[in-house]
Amino acid sequence: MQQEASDEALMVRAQDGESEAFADLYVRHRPALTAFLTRFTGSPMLAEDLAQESFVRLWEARERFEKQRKFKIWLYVAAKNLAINALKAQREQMLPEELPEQAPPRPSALSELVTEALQALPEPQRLALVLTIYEQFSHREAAEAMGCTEVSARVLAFRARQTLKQRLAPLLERGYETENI
Amino acid sequence: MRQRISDTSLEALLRRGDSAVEATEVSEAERAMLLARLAEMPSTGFTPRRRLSGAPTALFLLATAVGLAIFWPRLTPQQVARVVPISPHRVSISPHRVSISFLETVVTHIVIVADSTCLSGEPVPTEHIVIRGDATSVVTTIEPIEKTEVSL
Repeated sequence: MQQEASDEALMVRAQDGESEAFADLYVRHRPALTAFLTRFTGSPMLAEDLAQESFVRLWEARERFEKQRKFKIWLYVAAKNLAINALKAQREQMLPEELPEQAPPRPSALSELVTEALQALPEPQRLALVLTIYEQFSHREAAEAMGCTEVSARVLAFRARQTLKQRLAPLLERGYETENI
Repeated sequence: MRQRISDTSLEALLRRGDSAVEATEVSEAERAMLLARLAEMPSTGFTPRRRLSGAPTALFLLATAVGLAIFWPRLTPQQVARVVPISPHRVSISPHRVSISFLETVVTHIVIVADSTCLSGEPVPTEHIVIRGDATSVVTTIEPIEKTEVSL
């Protein structure tokens, strides 16, 4: 049975100009990357665009890929940077009256409540939480993707959990019943 | 009193309420679209970046240092009186401008028009620069035009 080529091996082939190898990486990682970006930005449409753009940027920068580096982290660094810039641009374009209110969430479906709670977290905390819980990154890998120390990533993830526990406590205590939250 | 919530139950809730679980697999058409987009992008060449050796950098720094030592501006009235356009404003001098070649007086005046009124065809002076100096030193004062009555 033929063993599947590693991400890094595919990326090395992509560095030699083999776009098919890079397309294999796209097929392999685009769904998970889109999911990550959806969780981080709160917008599936924006996430789709950013995921595609992330791959395009990596293709442009393929010469700079270092073989000893993990491709997935490199990809998530690019995606994270694009997402942060996109969120910043969105905030700058918003008029003050359009800024989201900090009012308690109205009764809604479970996924909406979870999304709202995630989006209410400060960006670094949200990023640390999404990477460690959903993407199964270790704290060291999350730190590398975030460009901070492992201790910082651990602290950010911890604070995010504490905030979410407080915010989602009524849901957790009532077995995910979403009425009157 | 609220019960303590475990990490496990929080994670279970986050997964159950995850809005991104429906991310679809990449279709052949999407893959083909990506390949087409990559093909359109200009080739960057595949040679690894060459690290510059230290010699050209050192030479550049040396040449810069020598150039600065030789050409560092000594402020003479002629040099200061040169009008330099300042972005983003348009800059012009008044009709009474002083030609650099005639700058022999100790005190000279320059009126700078540096605002959007330049575009209207009737420039309005905005700044008044007074240059006082001799062969060895120059003192320049800049005053907003509304505070200065210019008589040239």
